[in-house]
Amino acid sequence: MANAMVALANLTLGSAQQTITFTNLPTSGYRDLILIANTQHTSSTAPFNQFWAKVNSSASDYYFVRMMGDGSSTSSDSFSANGKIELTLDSAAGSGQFSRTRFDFFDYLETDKHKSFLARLDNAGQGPQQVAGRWASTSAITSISVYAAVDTWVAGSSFALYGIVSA
Amino acid sequence: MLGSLWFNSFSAGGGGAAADYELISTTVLGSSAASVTFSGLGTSAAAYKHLQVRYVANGDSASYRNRMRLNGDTGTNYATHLLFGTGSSVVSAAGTSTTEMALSSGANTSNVFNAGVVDLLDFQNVSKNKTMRALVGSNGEVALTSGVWLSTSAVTSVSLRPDAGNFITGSRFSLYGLK
Repeated sequence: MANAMVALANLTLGSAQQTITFTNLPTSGYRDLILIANTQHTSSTAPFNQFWAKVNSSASDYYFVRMMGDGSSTSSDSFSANGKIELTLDSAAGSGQFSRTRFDFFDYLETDKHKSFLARLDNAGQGPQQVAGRWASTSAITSISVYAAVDTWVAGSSFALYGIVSA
Repeated sequence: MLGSLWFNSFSAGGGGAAADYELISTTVLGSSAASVTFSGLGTSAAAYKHLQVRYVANGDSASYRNRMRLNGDTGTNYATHLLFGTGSSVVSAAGTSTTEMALSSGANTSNVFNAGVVDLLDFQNVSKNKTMRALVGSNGEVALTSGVWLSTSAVTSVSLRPDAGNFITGSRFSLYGLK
């Protein structure tokens, strides 16, 4: 049988950059998309640890719930009709660590449902964060952008996009 | 600065890359159904070490939680622990001696589907109980779950169902094998 997880694109930054956009996504052959990032920020303090994402450049209609733990406490919050997907525990400058962030976008081409996603950000220095939510649109996803919210990611940060085959 | 990656052509199947993660079966509901079952795994999944279910589903009940059952075993042979965020707090819950394992919750809201990635480990090993772990979520909840089926039998079927009502049209369930 054919491989069901196919590398579509990957990029390792040669210099600091704030935004990465995956465009012209496949219009057939795949059911889900997985984006994996390994990142560190060029700034060291909050709010410079935020990892944002959008699809189709849409600046509205993201609904999601987050859950995180920092080693001493846990918390959960939620967002409605937000302008982007927000994760907040990305690795800061000087931490010596790169975070690992994974997004799963489900049924990204299907127009009979809003686009559900799951995400997890792992940062050994600050703790894990899980996110579940949706982009409240039945449009197919044609592009995915991720952002270092207010600064940039350092050279060496990497981003990979995979397609999950589903007949 | 905007960095763009452009895609010009794709071929599902990976262009000859080593196939260690493979699609076994997908079900997309064309009409509502009380459950979805992947069966015959003793044959169709014999080449794999682990299984993964990816789903995006909605139900027709105002409140439900998705459940997973193995080999059609309806006995009280399952346990699940959940750590979930509700949007205001983080809660831990457990169920032991249950008849199924717990996954994501949902509500019958138009276009709003809940999703999950469920790993079922070493499913053919007949000397250990079968363990499951999952990241699941919906519009109002995100959860990490771990579960066990207290049986050393090889897993030959995997069933999912909402604990109230039916899965609705458009719900999708895919089963993958990992070598």
